Amino acid sequence: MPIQTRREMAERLEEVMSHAYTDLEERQRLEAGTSLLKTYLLEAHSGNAGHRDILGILIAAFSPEMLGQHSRANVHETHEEFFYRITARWATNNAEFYVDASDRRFWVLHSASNSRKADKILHRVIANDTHLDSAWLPMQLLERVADMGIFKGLFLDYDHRFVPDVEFDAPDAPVEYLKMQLWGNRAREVLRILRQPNTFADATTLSKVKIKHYLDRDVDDDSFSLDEVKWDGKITARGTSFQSHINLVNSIYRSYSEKVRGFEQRFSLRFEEPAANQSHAHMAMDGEPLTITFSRPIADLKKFMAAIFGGTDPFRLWGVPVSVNQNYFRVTAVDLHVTNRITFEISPDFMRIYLPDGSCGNTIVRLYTNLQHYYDSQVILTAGGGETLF
Amino acid sequence: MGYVPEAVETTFANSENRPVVPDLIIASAQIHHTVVLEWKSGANTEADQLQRYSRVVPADLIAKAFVHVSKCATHDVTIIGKGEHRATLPICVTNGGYIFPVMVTTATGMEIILNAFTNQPTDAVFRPLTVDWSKLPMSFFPLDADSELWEFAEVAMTIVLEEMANGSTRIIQNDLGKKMFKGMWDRMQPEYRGQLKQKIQQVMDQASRGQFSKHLQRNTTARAVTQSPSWDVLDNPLNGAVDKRQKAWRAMLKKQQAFIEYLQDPNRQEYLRLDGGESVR
Repeated sequence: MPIQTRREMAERLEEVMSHAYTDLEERQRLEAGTSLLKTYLLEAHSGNAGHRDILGILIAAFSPEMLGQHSRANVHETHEEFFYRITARWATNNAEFYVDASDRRFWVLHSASNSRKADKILHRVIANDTHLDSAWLPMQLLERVADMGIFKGLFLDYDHRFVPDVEFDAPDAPVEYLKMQLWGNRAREVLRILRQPNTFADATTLSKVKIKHYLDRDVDDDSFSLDEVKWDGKITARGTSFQSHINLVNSIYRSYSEKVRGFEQRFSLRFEEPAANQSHAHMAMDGEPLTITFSRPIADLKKFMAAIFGGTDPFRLWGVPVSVNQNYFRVTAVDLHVTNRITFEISPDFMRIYLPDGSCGNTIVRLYTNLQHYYDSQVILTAGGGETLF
Repeated sequence: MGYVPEAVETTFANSENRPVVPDLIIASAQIHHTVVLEWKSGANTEADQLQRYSRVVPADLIAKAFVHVSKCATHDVTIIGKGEHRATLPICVTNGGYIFPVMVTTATGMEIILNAFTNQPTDAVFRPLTVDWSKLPMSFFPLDADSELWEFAEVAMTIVLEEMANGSTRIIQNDLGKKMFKGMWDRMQPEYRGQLKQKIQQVMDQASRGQFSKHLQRNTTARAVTQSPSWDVLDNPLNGAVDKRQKAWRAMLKKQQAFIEYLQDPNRQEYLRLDGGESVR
């Protein structure tokens, strides 16, 4: 019987969580055909869309034009508004998703299908559809997530090879890549050691945290979820309570969406007409640029810009750098994720970002997060006055 | 200290009802102080202009320049010039007996060479102010009528490609101008807008005859409908099959680079359109 309401979905997904939890506790592995609950935070660039508009966006996103030939998907409405069910097949992958678009912009997708297959389908949809993007969680936000429950472990993932501005064979070359998995209560201590000066501070990037989250431990300490929250907005869960899981998901999403909306309100450069009752007033400009500062100077600016603005993964920014001064460049770029224009000024020490009116704050968070993972863990994002933004 | 920009090149009347047009007004609610800034590109100041500035009172700033009353309990007018004019800039200020602080640029920033700000913390900032001139923000207003064609191409072609990716089949000059000068286009003086239009058209014509000739073609018959020059999108790989789009963007990167370099070349040969539609250089 297909799921038609959010309540039915919660009951079904709680069974999935509970089954996976028992399997892993008892057998230390999942039974064939069993999988963890996966929740994906997805940001939609769809304006003030209504229920039917979002249905249209989903149908287009999962169409063969986006998902590829040899694909087939059905997007179903349910008995509830802004709640949809999708079955999708692409090549040898198939998956089922439940889409909760209660917040018309910051959607939540759940799936109990095979993780690898669901990931493949969703990654392809996001890569090809300019209306959709993942939520990108910088490591500062992940650290705050770690405080939302009992900390159980972490992953580190840093890979400089995507931005090859240095010779990695040189004797004083920086770290090429650093990936590590740490389980247990002492994981945080290891993180602290790696971040000390003269260790691996600029290559220690948190990519996933695992926590045990209770809905309300004082009331019921049997209702919990074990959640692994990844930097690309994917959250896998098992445990005894879907309520606990969704409570955590909403807390994370609230922090993220407040940041993104805040960036748009504060930093978008816009010209404002005087109010109708102020005909004497002048046109006003609002907004300000943001600055990303690096912990070490960029070794080869041209190679760096070629990697960032070449239009390829992971940054997917497109633009031709033009020289303004010696070692100072401007790039009028397009963010290919959402096909929006954005302007940069770049020197070896910093990157200044001008967000045009109507652009998406998600672009800033994605760039900042990707720089943490692919260039410098210690990049700092600041407002014009120097205020740190994460 | 909480200074924020209040107005750029705004005209208001002083207490004697004579106009002043400062280049910038900044003000701080935190220290209740306003600074009226006048930049001089030449070697001298004008006695009449200084006299008019000397008759600006807080009431003018509040009622005519619309600075909030909490920000202008006190104010200063300051004259700023180039370092090479440090000997001549103060002459008129001294002769007129004005208290305006006079500042000049230096290789490493700015410094006061005559008088002082009445607000001490503000004064302290400029003794001296360190500025890295090579890294100032430059993209608030990336273009004006004096910008080079290659600078217009940087912005215009990026928007054209963005439009193509979104499936546009025709680029209309007036719409392109609105996107390039977002929020300002319709409020410009028609004469000034005309200068910008001319540069946009030059860029688009060169693009459609040169590096982007495969993708854009000037439409010479649609003007009656569009009320503005337009270019049709011919081949559009940016809106084609998803698997080929990334490759198409990479190809466009090379074309855009070549186009900017072409326009930067002072000895470039213009593309000319022949009656048959082909182009020659």
